[in-house]
Amino acid sequence: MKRYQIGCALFLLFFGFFICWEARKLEMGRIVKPGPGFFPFWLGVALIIVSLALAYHFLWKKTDLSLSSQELWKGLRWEKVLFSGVALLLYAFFLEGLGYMLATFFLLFFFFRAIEAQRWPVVIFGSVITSFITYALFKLWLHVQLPRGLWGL
Amino acid sequence: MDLFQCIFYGFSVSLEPSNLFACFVGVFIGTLIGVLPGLGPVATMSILLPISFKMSATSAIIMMAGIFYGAMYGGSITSILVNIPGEAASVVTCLDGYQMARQGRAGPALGIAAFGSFIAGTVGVAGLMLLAPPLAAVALKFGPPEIFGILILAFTMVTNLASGSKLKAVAMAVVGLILGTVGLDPMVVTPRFAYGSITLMDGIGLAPLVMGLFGVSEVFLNIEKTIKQEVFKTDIKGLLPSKQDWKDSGRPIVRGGLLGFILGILPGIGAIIPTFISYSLERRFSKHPEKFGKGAIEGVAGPESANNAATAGTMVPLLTLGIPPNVVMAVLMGAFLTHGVQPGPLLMKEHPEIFWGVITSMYTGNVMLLLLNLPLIGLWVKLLKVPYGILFPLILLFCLIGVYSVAGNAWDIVVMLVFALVGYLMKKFEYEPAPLVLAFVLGRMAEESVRQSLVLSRGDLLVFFKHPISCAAILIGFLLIFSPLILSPLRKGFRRA
Repeated sequence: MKRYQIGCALFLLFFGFFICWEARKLEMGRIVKPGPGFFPFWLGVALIIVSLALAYHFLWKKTDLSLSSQELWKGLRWEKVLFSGVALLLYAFFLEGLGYMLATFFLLFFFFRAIEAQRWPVVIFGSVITSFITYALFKLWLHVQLPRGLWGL
Repeated sequence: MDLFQCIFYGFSVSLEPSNLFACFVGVFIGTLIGVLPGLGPVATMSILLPISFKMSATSAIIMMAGIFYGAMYGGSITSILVNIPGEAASVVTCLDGYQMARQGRAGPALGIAAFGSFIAGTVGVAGLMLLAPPLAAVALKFGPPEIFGILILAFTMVTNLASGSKLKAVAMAVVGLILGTVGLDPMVVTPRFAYGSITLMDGIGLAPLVMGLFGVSEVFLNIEKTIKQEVFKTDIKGLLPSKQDWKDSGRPIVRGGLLGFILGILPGIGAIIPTFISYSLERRFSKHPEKFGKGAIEGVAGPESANNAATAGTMVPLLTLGIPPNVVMAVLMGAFLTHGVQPGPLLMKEHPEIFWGVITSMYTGNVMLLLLNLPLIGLWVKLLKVPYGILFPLILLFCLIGVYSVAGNAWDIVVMLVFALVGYLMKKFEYEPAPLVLAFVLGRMAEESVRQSLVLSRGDLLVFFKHPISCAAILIGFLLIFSPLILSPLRKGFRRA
């Protein structure tokens, strides 16, 4: 865990440097009239200081790390998180092409079957009915903008 | 208008059919998500944010506020029956509520939670009515340095009260402020950190950020572990507490109500901390402290009252100063802004229908919750038995619909997924997302107040110390940050001596 915590502090440190670097490209202005780069630059500086303090804290001080004895992903089904994340990403890319109903049907079918395996009737009816009901509720009743894809669905 | 006229005017607004319906929808959904572990009021309010575009600003805010205090009611049901807090503010209720259920007293536990919440909620709304107008009048005199001072105080309190490492909380607040600078500069309209992307040019949306950090990441954390929800099998009868129950709970309800409201006003405290303080207070006041943790009704009445009164308390800084004291209020502020309404000292003058309508709706909502919850407890219990495998795709789907419908832009889903991953890793590495979201929402206001102060004072960096309110707020903030550094060596010295 200590290694991960130092890694996080270093990531924040690089992020702070990156913000300072990018903010310098914007107009900094003067103290009497600060420009668009002024606030982000000083925030970047603040992040650098805080991340250095964090790194020092984890490197040199005896810290009470509650998760130090156990690994972060041990005994967990992390692959389900990975598959769900990829499924959601694919949904984002295909949503406008396929349309809400079809894309949602495929997404729910995957979740109901592959992530937490349900019985086939639940998978099929659950996916169809949920896609239809949410479309009717949000698009037809509440007029929320949802994309129409193939066959106007 | 005097106070009574304002209250009557508020009721005339909140009792309009459309607002009454919005209030009902809010408290119903609030109770629902309070009952279901894993989806809190923050994510739910963000999901409903785009849908609220179709409503009037008053109805939308009434609905959003209803979700918050409705969730406090719902959270107690899960705590008492399943021993899993449906809401973070109901953690303490598990201690005695679940023990009462095991002893066959689930009914009185649920009953006193509902009645206590109602009474304390009423106390909170009364406090809000009395305190908000004078505070708003004072806040009208605030200029940019005062606003910056109060923001500094809010940030320091939020980071200081974070449950984990304070340094990590500060880092998250700074990251939140940085994320708030993405998009067009508020004063000279120059794009920052957009890299040519139209999605980023508009700034990072509050809905994708909040739903990613709170909604989707929570689902990710839940699906990687096996959740077994076992509802305690007991007959729920006798929801009306007995005379003895009332006798035992009366004072805890009043104390919890007052404590919750007063603490709720302070930045960073929210509805969770008052419940813990109320519990320890009741234990100290009790003639039988040994009964606590073994089914003492005072252990349910006090904290449940505290969390409901705190919801009214947290509204005070938002409605009067325009500064959200916690992350739920930050999302509510987002709802105000998306409807083109700026919460703050001018709200009462410019939009009295919203100000008084929302406040009085909280009272109507509390009545609805009392009438709703007692007869509907059977329904909530059935809902608790829905397996997570069926629930989580629906939660994700609502997040997707919520995010997409803000601007009809599929890239917002990608932004949400990025923050879901960030939130998932943050929780793994014990970084809290609340300071990040709060700083993100307040970032623009903080930047404007700094830059305006510097322009007005012709570049005088000491301007913040020349105004008494900002100076006091900044000094208190610094004291809060550095007090552990000063006090711990002193304590060590005393111990050695």
